[in-house]
Amino acid sequence: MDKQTALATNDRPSPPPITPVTPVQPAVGLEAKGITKSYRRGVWPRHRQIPVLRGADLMVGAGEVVGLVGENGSGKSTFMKILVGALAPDSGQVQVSGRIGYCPQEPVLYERLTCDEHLELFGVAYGMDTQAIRVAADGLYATLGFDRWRAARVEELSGGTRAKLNLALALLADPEVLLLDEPYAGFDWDTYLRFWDLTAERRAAGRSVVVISHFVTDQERFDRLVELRDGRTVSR
Amino acid sequence: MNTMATLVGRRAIIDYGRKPLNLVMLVAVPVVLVFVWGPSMADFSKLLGGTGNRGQLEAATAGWAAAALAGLAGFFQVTGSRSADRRLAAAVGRSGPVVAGRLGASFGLALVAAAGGLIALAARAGITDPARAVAATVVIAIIYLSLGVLVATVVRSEMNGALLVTLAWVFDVFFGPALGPASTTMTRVFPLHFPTLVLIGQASGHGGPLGDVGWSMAWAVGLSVLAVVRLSSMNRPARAPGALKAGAATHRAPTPAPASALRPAIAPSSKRPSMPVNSPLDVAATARLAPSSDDAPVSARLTAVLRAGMREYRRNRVLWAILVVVPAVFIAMAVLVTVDKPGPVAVVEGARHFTAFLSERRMHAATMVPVTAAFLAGLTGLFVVTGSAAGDRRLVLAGMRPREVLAGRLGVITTATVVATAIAVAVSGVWYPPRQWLVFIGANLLIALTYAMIGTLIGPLTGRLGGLYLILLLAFIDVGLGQNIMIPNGPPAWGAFLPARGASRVMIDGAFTAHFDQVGYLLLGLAWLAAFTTVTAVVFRRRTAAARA
Repeated sequence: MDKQTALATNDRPSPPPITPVTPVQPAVGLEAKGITKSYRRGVWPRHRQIPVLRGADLMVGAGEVVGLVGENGSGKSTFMKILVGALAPDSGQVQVSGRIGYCPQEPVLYERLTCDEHLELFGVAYGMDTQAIRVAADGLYATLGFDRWRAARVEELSGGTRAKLNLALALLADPEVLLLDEPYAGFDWDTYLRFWDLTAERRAAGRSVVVISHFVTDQERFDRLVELRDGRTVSR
Repeated sequence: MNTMATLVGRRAIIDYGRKPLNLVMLVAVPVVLVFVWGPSMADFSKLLGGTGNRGQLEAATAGWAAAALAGLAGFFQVTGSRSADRRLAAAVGRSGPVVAGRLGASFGLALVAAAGGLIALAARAGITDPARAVAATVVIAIIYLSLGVLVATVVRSEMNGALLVTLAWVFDVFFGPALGPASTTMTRVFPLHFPTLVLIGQASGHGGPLGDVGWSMAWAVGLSVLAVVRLSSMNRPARAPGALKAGAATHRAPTPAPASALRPAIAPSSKRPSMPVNSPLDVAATARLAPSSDDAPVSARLTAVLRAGMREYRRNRVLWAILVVVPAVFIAMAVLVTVDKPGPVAVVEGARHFTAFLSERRMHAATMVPVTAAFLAGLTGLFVVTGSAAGDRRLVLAGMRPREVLAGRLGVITTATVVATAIAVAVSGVWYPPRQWLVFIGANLLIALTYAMIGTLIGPLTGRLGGLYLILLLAFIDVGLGQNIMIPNGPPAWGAFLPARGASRVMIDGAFTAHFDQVGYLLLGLAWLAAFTTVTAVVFRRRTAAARA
């Protein structure tokens, strides 16, 4: 597999000096080094900086499923957004091999579009042709069990079905790196198990998967667990 | 019940005070309406057939301020707590205490709104008849509070509901008896018609046996009762038919399906559609988020975004109804209530500048088109951008280019703007056809598109609600006042610095002269549009592009 590597840096003024990350080996799906991020809260004169990440690192190999855990407010979603590219870090570097499929914590969907229309739109965004979109969509509908909702608008869907569509958009193009932020919140037990079947299948195909969770009940499903504690990543 | 109602009411008031926008509105609305609008509306009132009595207008502004604040307070009291109130009512077992607390809080906010308007009025011009002013303002606040609550119980979308309350207020104010003629039959059905007459101390002469005060009370009581009924019905805990007695219910935990029974329904990996492994997976930071060279052509992606955007917008029926109904009703009413007498207007014909005397009704028909089109186009830009911001960012992360998403969004905005402008032009043109149709349509479209871009810029800064009021204010100040040829001595000088000046002069040229003579103003209008479009593109790109791109 002739994957090439993407190098992402931010242009923020005067970040702390970062040692350049050496190019990752093809077997590495994603690598993040020295990620820091703080948020500014409050209005002057009461505004204050709240540090969330203080040098978080993460490396995920191809065919590896890593669980990212931590307490509420520990910065898991912030870290995930930085890995995806949805949020700029204050400092640090992220390298990704291949494409990312991102499943945000809260479903990010268009209220008045149907499930089919979402999959069509995101399929085009991923660069898939009509036939590929249809085949992938059919598979995801069947696997996640929401085929009967394909013509329903998002505003008509239950929370659980929205979560399924949210996940399906991330999986649609079978990307090399999957970043899933609490993807099974709202799933029923059956769908939860199917989700893990899907994940196992992706792992077998050499995809890198990061799953965020508040707590991990099925530790055996992960190859590794990484905990965010005090803004840093710690192996568990 | 009393404790619960008091608790709900107190918490609701505290919650209201914790939102900075509420506090800003509480101060800004009375100040703007009483201090800024009141004095400047006298001339405008004369155009609409009103008395132009400054004292009466200033008194009315206190009521308008109270209505605006109370209507929105009532609306957001209900929408912001709908689910939590239902849950609370279910916990209590009945809706009464929750509804009482919520309405008590809303009534308190209506009193605060009325006080805001009255304080501003007292500071601005003094109050000659305090008892009448206080009573009428409170009645007005209650009417709009009830209206806000009613809309909240009927309309699901917070934005659509807020828009409906605002439009009701706009109609009530601009076609009410303080600004326009008190005798017009069609405006008597507006909720504030009679209370406003009471507030400004003018007898309607058509109150019948109930009288003006009686009608005012009837509106307040009638709408309040409806609001209570709707709110109670909305919060009433649902009871299952034939509910079991306590202790008789059984519960069976769902039995999880065995994992082994599950079959991965997805096709085998080798058959699944996947990104071609030999395709370049992009080297640079921007490239990893962008499509590869094998991806769908730009036209396909652009078409996909445009089609999805049109589908989304088409399905928002309230917005389409507003796009169609508001221009039709607003322009028709403006024409009908305007006193038809000749008025001066400066025009250019064949490089010759002169003052023509034209029917003021005709002038009003023409000048209402850009005001309405600008407001609706601004709203379209605002709604489209704010409604799709998060999804658009995700689309870009998935591989769509920001410029493709922007082009799709602008396509939707332009289509809706053309529809709103076309309807406004058609309604106006039915009464008074412009002398140069193409120039008139083009000028109005130019103003509308400029405001559509302003809407897209304002949205991310203020959010939908703040943007709604800002667009309304900007369209009225710029297009409605700053470029208004019906104001004695012509449009004010400060209007030259506002975005609609160039296109407005072109619009006047198209409406009232036989030949096009305003190349300079056309270029000015185009320059404003180009500037706002450029800034919109830059801001959109910054907002949607990947953070590290």
